[in-house]
Amino acid sequence: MSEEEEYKKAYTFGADYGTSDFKFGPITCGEIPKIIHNRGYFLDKDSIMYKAFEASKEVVVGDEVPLYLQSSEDLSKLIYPMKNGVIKKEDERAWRVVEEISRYSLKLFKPSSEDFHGFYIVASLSSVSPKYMYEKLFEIYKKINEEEPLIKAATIIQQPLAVAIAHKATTCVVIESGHGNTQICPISRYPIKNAIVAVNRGGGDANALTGEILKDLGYGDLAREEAFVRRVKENLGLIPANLEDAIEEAKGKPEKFMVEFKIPGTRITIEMKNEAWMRFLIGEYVFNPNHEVYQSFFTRGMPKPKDIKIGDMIFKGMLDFGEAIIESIERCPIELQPHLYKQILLSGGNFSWKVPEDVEGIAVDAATKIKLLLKEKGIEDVEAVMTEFPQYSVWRGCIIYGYAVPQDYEWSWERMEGWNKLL
Amino acid sequence: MIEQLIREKIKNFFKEYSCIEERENYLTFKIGDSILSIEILSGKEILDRNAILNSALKALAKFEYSNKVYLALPKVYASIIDGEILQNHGLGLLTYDEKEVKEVIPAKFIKKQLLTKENYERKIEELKIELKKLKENHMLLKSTVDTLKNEVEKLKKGLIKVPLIKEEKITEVKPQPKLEASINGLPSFFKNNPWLEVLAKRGKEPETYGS
Repeated sequence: MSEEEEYKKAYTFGADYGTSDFKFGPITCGEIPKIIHNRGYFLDKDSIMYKAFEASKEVVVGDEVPLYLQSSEDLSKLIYPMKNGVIKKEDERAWRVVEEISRYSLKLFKPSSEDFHGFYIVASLSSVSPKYMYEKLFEIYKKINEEEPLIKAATIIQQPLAVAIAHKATTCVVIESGHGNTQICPISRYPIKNAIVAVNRGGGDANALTGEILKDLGYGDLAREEAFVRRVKENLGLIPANLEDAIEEAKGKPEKFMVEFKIPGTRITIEMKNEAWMRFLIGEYVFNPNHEVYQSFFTRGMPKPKDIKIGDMIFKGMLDFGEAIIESIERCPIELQPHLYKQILLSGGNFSWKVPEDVEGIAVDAATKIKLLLKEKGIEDVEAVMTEFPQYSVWRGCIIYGYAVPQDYEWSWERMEGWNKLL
Repeated sequence: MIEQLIREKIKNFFKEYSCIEERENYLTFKIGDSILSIEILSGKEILDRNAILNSALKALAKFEYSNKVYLALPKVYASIIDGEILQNHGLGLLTYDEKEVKEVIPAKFIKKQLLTKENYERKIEELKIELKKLKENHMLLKSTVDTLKNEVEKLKKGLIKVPLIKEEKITEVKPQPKLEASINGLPSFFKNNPWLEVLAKRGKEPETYGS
């Protein structure tokens, strides 16, 4: 084993800046990284707490955050910087949280050994993160290093690439669907940057629709609480194999689809009886919101997912996932396309849907739905799977990337890869 | 009380077995995977003229979940039983008095895979998985049939002209000899990961599809 391998075997560091969690740690963590919320709490400098603890820092991150929360009002001082995967250039508070969280993670695992001369850190950002985010993150690492030499070299990779690495797939399409949006990224040993397709639709949109359905069912007062609506979506929402067939079946045999859901720890019970067919609207909306049945919700004021521009990328609102995958893959070389359809990796919380045993076939899981959407459009021979260990796979990909990429490969802004040497 | 004593004597007779169930008129033992059941007829019941027949039938029913079954009778009444009938049905005969328990006819060992509750549950789980697979296949097949039906309809109506498509020739990439990556002391996700070889070449080869 070379000297470089020996060093990296101890001091490769992965940092996955996810939308809600920050997963980090050195290679020596083994299989599972340390996980904290990707958030920071801004202390009120005039508060008694601030003065009492003589805190010199203005942002608290990591496991300490709950200790500072005093009331629900405090939640407004909690900043989740990576909402939607992109931080605005001028959003200073969000960048302060990223800085503090990065510092916290490196210091937490700082080795005491004398042979330690800084980590090889591999950070992972969303595939839609613009170039200035890479610049900002490198600046942050440089600043941390000026205070204390903790980083030997840094690099940044896209989260879908890290997922593909962790899943040992060198040719694949990674679909990452989170709260705010969905990104489709083909990979053939490199992320195929100009084939990335972003959709401005995610778990949050399904929550909005669930809220409207709850209002229709007479639970309008509860529909205002997002955490509650999300639980209802997760427990009652179903993905239909075919929306029209599923609605017909559920209207014909409502007893088969009727459901009662009691919110644990409360006295609230949601009942769906003759309206149980609406369960299918929730799942379908994530994958394809174009059915005419949704028109009545839009007419009554539910916001329609819009096309928006974030950074350099256009996020389409109403594009169905089948269409989005085809659009992405068709931007790749023709000879590569069949191989990409054969390995579609579904990643992210928005793909976790339940399929109750007694309605299997009418309700399906996310991987089957993707296959069916593509089949409708004439694409056969598709393999779609959910990623294993979705929480850790990006961090694992970062660790492998950091270990394997040679240290003499210098960072190139053209290629957006290589090592940025900081020591 | 007397019944209790009889059961204790029988338990002592089968002391190498472990008793897993004890009721007034029967005992169940287990040794390894085998189940042994004993139907006990007390001296009190024998006054009823149908009691022996009744007990013998109950004993026979125990073969459903037992490998060996005995009928236990007071010694004094054993002589009125035709041992051959019991033997023909595989039933063993035990006699007892206040002093001892004796095996008059050994019970026949009936080989069978006894389905325990766990076995049933496992079987149900296997069937559920099988059913799920079938449903998935059925769904995909249904969708294929629907597509085919549509295609046939379209073809029938002459709406689709089938273009001659020249198939794209896919260049076969010959597998390169793999670089052996040592995984000594590395996390398990390094094992057999083709990316180790790919990434080790970063900076040394032209980018193919990345831009």
